[in-house]
Amino acid sequence: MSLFAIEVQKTFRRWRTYIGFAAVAGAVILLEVIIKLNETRMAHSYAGNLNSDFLISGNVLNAWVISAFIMNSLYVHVPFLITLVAGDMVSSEATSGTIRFLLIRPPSRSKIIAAKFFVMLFYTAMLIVFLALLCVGLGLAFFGSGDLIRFQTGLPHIVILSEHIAASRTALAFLAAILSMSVVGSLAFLFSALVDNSIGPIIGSMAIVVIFFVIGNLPFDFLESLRPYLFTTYMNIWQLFLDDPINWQEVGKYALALLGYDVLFFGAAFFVFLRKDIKS
Amino acid sequence: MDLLSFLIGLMLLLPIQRQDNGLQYIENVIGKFSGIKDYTVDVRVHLDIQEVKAPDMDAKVYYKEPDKVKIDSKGLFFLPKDVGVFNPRKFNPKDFDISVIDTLTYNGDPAVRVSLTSKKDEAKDHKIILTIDKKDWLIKEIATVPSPGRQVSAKISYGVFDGFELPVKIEVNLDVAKVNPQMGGFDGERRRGGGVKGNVEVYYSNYKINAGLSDEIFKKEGDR
Repeated sequence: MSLFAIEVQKTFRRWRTYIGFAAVAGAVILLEVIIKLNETRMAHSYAGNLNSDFLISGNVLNAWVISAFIMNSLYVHVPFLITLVAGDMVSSEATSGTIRFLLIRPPSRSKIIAAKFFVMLFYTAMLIVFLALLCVGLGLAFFGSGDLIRFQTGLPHIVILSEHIAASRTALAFLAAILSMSVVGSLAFLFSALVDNSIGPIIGSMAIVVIFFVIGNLPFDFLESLRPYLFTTYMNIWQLFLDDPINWQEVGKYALALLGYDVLFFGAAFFVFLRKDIKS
Repeated sequence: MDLLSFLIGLMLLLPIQRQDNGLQYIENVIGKFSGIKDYTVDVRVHLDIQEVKAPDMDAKVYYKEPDKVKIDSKGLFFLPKDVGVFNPRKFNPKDFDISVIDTLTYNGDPAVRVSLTSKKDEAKDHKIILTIDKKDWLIKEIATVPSPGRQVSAKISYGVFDGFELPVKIEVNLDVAKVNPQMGGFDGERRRGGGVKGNVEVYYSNYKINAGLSDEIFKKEGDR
């Protein structure tokens, strides 16, 4: 069995791995049921001012709109679920006392840390894919399909994507969300390599995410120069795929920044793990 | 004899007085439409509004006298209120105070501009100005202020379908100020908008007139 498969097995044997899936399921089901129960009022409310100037026909609240809304609501909260597992990837070996046993076996340290990192990425991807399947699946069952209407702060304020491209754009948005969430996972993974307990990496990485989000959203000009260096600035990359047309230059910039942080955090974790003292 | 001449003269003058306050013009326009009991039409809407980015939208619009309207579309469909569904009956003189603004020549034909102000308390700010072609008794332009801060104007081009003149294109200009900055979205994620300003082109084709549309068509799903 490959090192990756062994690490996957170890990770998915832990009950905490399923907390994220349960939380996502609970949140999505609850949200979609609430929206369904208030569908007429919410559809009218969602169209906002357009109701004053236009007669509106068609399925305003549909699976794609609901999915975009849920992503918008959860992309600040899902990182916590990622850190629950990512923050435990390396430190759990120390906590359970298996780190020495693991590191004296033939696979090199670099292979072990790489396998653990890829398992963290795999978990992140699985969680987002699960979120996507649930959002879209339940959304289609409850609300059906339709054009995706989005409201945004900049011009144009309202973007409407035809039904036939809304599905592919939503899929791209969820894929981008995997990249976005992988950075949080990488940060927690780095902290996990630094310490011997799991609570520290989880709380530490969430604290950084929250602080960066706060700094990034404060309306002060003097913070403007800081924003390009905060990984949270690029975490809404998924929203770029719901624009029309897609600004590929911006997508490239955001993706490179996020990949850069992934490499940086993994590189640091790799460096720390290779020099980890297991004798003391 | 003198009394008879006076009465005849008075009767001849009455229609002129009616025309002077615009009532007759509106009645002529509605009268021209009176042969249409119902129609269905395919409608395509092209939005050229800075605040809205949307593909062209298609729908089938059902109309039945006096004011039943149903819109059937596969995707989202926005039709400008007040001017999108052609129905001169909605300018029923009973509902408006009517006055003539001026007479003019419109595309070489005699025309008149008539002002309508809603008599209803809840819509007392609703003002409409119609430019009526006196040769064909057709509304050529509609300028409306549905509420303070909102201005909608429309130019209408006509075609002949089954002997009736009905719109083939309505060019709508929207100028909606920041009356309500809430553009839309779910509660808590509302986006602040800056009103709506731009043009909407509405194309009409494939009219089916007086097909005997059932009232059932116009019932909302919840009513059935």
